[in-house]
Amino acid sequence: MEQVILKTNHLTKRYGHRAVVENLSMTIYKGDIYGFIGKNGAGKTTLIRMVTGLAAPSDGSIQLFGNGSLLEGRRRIGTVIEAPAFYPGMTARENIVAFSKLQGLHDFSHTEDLLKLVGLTHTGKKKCRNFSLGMKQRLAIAIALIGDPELLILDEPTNGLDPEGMKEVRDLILKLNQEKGITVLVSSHILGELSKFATRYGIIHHGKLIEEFTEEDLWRRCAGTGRQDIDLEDYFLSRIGGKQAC
Amino acid sequence: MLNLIRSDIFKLRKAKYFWILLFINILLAVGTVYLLDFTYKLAGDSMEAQLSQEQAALDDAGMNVSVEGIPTGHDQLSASGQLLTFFAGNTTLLMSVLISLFVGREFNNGTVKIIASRNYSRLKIYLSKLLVGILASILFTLVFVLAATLTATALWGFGDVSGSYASQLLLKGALELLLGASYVSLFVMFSILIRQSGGSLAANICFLEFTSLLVTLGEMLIHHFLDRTVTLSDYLPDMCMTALTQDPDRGTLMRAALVGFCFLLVPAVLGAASFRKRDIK
Repeated sequence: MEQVILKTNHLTKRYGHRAVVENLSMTIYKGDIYGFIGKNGAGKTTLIRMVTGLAAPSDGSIQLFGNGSLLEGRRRIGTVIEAPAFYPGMTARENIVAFSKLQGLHDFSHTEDLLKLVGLTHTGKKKCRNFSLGMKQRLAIAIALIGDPELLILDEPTNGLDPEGMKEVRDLILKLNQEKGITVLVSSHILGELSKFATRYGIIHHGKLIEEFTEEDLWRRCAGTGRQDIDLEDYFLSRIGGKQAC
Repeated sequence: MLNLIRSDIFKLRKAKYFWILLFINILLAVGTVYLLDFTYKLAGDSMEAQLSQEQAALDDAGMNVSVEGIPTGHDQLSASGQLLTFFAGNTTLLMSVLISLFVGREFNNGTVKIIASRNYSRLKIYLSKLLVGILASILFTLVFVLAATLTATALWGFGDVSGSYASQLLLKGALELLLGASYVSLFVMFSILIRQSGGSLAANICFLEFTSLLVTLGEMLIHHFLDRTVTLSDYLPDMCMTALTQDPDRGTLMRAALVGFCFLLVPAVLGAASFRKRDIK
């Protein structure tokens, strides 16, 4: 039986009378690269904020790693939410040391391993404010990996990146998932990119989870109609438009 | 929570603004003593008369400010006297800048999202900022005192001290540090409420500079129009700091301690409650 890493039960977030996330129940299993798909303003980031404790749910519940304590569960997750966050006046190494101390780590030998993993070993004394966007994104992922998290939550990690930058992030996510067994939740509206590495998808529209499926599910549904040429983007647009593409 | 504090201390040590402000602190300490020396030399024998005139003018205006305890001549200046009359100096202004940057930049940089999404409660994150801010305040105050005392000793000598000097100095010093900590608590609260370094810097400096002014102005107007004396300003931290530099009685010492604790605890409770309740965007 697959181990459940994250489960939300009828999760709702209201601002005033407006529900930005409504009755959302989703499940992420160990080893998934879960692509969380939705238009801008669909509620992806709001859901991530609730999972990571940055926003309090108005209703519903969250279970991390099958256990009741969310604070304990959050010890085992790493996050990059919206823009990459780091201390711009410090170097990449100093940023990793600062966040390592936060995690209670006293031995900083993992710093070089992390920098090597994300391709930032040669940054030396360069302050992070002078990094390119791709380098900033990779540093943010390195920070999220401190403490060996079991779940990595990446909110729009390829926003603003060029194709080469997108490939670097994609390859890194695949490496983390396949070599280290890290479960990944990636939210994005760039479906073509997401379809290259996600193993399971959830479509959110106007705050509601419309559907969860794997790539195999998608192809299996379309096989019966003879439509083999449909891709994730077509399927997503058809679902939010209310029509079945297959 | 120890990990939070360690991380915050590391970040502060690595921040350029921390070292710049500490350097300015030392410059101010040395500069203040030299300025005082110059002022007294310039005034010569007329300093005593000037001080009397100033006190009379303050009393007429209904202002709750006293010049008691201020030396009346250059020959009365000493490092030991300086310690008692001008302990913390301008460190509160520097702390308003430091805390605005220290707390505000976590929101500006977005790093507060990383900290808040780890396994720490919002209360612990808030308390860590407050404690490290207070430690910084103590450091800045003691550095100021050391620099000013060394300069004053070089210029005027340490001076004779009575048997009770040490206990008086320790008591006043502790109360000054408590009042400094109460300012830090206010600055942290404003920074958490405003959530960006620029806005919180403006709010902290305005609070520091204008609160006493506005309260004192109110007292003057009440005295002028209603012929009544109100001394609400006695319950502000900076007025308590001023009162400590004179010859405070037991009542003044108790009031300073009470004001210090209240201004330390109330903003901490309000700030922590706001931080716990509000979403982080």
